Amino acid sequence: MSEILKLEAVEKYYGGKGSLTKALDNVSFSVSKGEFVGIMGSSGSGKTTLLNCISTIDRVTAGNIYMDGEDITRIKGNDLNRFRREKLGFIFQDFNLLDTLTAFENISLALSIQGVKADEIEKRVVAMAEKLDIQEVLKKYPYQMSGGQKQRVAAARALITAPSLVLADEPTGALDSKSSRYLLESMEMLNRELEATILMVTHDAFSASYATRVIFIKDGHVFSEIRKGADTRKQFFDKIIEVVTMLGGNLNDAF
Amino acid sequence: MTLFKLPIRNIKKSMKDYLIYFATLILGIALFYVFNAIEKQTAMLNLSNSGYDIMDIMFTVMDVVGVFVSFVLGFLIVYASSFLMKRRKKEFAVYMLLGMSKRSISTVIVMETVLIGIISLGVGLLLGIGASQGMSVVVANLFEADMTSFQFTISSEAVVKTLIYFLIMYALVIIFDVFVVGKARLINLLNAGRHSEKNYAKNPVLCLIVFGVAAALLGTAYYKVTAGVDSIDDFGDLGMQVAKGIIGTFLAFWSVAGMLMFFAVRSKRFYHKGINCFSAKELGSRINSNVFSGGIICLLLFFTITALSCCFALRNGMNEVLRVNAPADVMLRLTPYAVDVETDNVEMNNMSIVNRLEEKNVDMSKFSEYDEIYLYGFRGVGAREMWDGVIDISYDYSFTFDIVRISDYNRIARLYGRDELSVKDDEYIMLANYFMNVKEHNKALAEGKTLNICGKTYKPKYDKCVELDVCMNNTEGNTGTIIVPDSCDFDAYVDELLFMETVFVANYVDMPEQELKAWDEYLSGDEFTDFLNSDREAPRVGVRTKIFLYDSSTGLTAVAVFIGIYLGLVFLISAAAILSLKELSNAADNKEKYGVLRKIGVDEKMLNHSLRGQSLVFFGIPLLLAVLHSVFGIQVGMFILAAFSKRGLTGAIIASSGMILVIYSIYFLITYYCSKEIIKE
Repeated sequence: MSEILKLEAVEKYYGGKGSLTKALDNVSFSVSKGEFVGIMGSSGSGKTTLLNCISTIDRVTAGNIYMDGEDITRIKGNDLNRFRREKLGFIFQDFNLLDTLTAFENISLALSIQGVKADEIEKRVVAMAEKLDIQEVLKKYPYQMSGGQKQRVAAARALITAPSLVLADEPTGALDSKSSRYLLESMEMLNRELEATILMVTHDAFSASYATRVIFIKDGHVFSEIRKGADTRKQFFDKIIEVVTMLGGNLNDAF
Repeated sequence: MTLFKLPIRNIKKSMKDYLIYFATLILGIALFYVFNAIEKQTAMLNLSNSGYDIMDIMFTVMDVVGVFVSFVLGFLIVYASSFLMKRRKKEFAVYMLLGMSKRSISTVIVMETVLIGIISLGVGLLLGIGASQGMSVVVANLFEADMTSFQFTISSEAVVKTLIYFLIMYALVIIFDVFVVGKARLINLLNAGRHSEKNYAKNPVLCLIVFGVAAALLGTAYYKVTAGVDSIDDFGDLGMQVAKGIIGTFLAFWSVAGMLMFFAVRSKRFYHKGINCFSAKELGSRINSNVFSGGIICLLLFFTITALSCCFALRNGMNEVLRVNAPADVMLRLTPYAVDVETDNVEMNNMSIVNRLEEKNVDMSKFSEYDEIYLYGFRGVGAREMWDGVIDISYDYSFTFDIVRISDYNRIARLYGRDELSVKDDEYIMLANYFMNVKEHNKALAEGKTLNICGKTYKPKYDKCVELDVCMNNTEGNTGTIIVPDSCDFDAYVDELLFMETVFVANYVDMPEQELKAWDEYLSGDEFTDFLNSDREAPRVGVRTKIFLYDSSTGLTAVAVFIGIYLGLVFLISAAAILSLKELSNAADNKEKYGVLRKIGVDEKMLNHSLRGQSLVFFGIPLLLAVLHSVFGIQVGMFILAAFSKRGLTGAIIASSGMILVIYSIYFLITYYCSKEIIKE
């Protein structure tokens, strides 16, 4: 399988002389097309910094990040926006839907900024909405939807442009357990059926168990990595819990 | 950090929030000073006596207007500061979390206000003092005064007055802000950033209907005040149209966003291009949540445009009226009757003004040329009878006509420096310049209405009036003077005609300026009039000199122009400042949204483009509607002022729209620049 994302010895320091913080310390891993990778770590472990570096919102101090073979640490200025527009899809913890737009418009915006024609936009939005079971909320505004519906609309927005990589930052963080499960199942389905490559940051073992591979980060470097392989989700969940236990009490909030 | 440093840092830090506040304060202070300093600024100008009289009236009116203006500015300043307070709730929450007492927070706010007050008063007064020097030139120009003794002045009264008024306003701001802090609860302050996701989307079909209603209301009001103006006969009716205009304005604001959205959504190629749908929806929700203030702002702008245009037009028109209607140096007028009393006991010997002047030993050598003519009138025949069968005079009153022979008219016309007229033996000419009557006469003349005068039938030489007057005047008030050939024998038809008045016109000989001024003031003074009329039995003679007419009328228009400009500018600043504050607070509230757009790959160019578009439309809609209103409002204004003149409107509109555009653009640019800064990461 082709490699979508590849990190090589990525370092990120904050602060200056005297008070240097290593947020990311020699992080290297890669993600292949069609993978659903979970990144786990406690708060302060560097997972958000990692996500920001990959999404070009933040710059690395050293090392390289390749996306589809292109070194994104070298992209500058307006090309960064183009890069984000064309290659990435975002799902945020607090949905980040635009409250003045309907669900349909929130999703279609991702396409219209790419210059897709109006007729095609409509077709693609409707198709995506069907997959995520949100047809009936397309005309509604965010304040009229439940949290789960909002997050599925956000997922639709992230995936509608068929990005090379979908970045999900604690997507279930603001959802109740039933909605969480439904969203994760949807993401799993999108990963399987559309071969969407997903990188999900979470500190929740249950969410992580929907991934096909989980990378653990501690104090800014990769601690370990486990794959689901042929395991059931339950078995994979138990394995994750084992690693979390090994990591120490830092992930207490996962239980 | 001490409590003294905190306020300074706060202001520095949130300069972009404060910029509009500062700009408004400084402009307000400068304006207030300029208009209050006029008294001092004009004191050194060489004004004639009547100029000074008018000035006195103006200062009295200005005092009243000043109080009104200070209320408007006071409201604006409190409003603006409460806006800033809202924006800083989080900051106060942090202070409170850190254990700062409400009293200390209040101290910080008081000191901030004091600091802002000192800076704004300093800068505003400096600006005002500078601008008032320029204002002197304007005053001098308006009053046609002599600028030779002009010097730089500072009006200490105006400075003190400005200080007192604005210190009161700042005290109000402090009381208001301290009150807000006193009532604040920590939990509310902390949650201030989380605004409820209210949605202002409206039913588009309902919006279309409401917009239709608004358009109908405005349309009929527009029609009524212009084309249908003849059917408006009292102020109640006019008030009705104004009420329709106001209701229509608010309805239009209520529905315009929904209506535009209705079409925007249907134009898919527009709607799904870039972030157009975001821009449209943002703008729509902003307009929808500001219906009331939008309407108010539109009306303020409308008032500004109309007032400025009408005042300038009045001023321009007045000059033109004077040029045409006061061409000779002096005119005397002898009227034998009290108003509306016609008698036959007219001793023609007593009717000569020249005789009277010679009797009184007036120095006729001071006139280079002079002449007098007699005007006659019709017995019991007014416009209704005269135009009978041609036009229906529906007025309650029917004005009468004067009649004069062509050679008499031409003698006066020569003194006035006008072209002489000529008529054939069976022709007449209608001289009139009161706009209402000109309209009526022209209808009759166009029909070729013939008149029977002194046993002969005359037909009109021209198909419309010659818009002039036989007398000198500072308004266009000639209701109608009929000029007939010399062959028309007035004396043989005393049953039909009667003597009306004598008009004497003269020009001065060349004399030194001082002497001329003294001579003119003597003639136009009350003393000379009393002297001429010392014999109570003799018919009364009135005097009008060219200089007197100029002074009194330019003075009147100058007062109107001043107050128009003053109020207009205050309203304009208020409207623009409110719009700016709304726009800025909106940008701050929407900062996150722009962050989201950035993350999904919208580039800065697109964001700025969207922001600019939104600001432009948000600023543009009230202005656009106000301009539309003004097109008709100015016509109403001109209709009311038409007794003075209807000339000079184009220049007036250019001048006033230039002024409005400059101030409005300043606010727009500051707003755009600041909101761009706010949405930056």
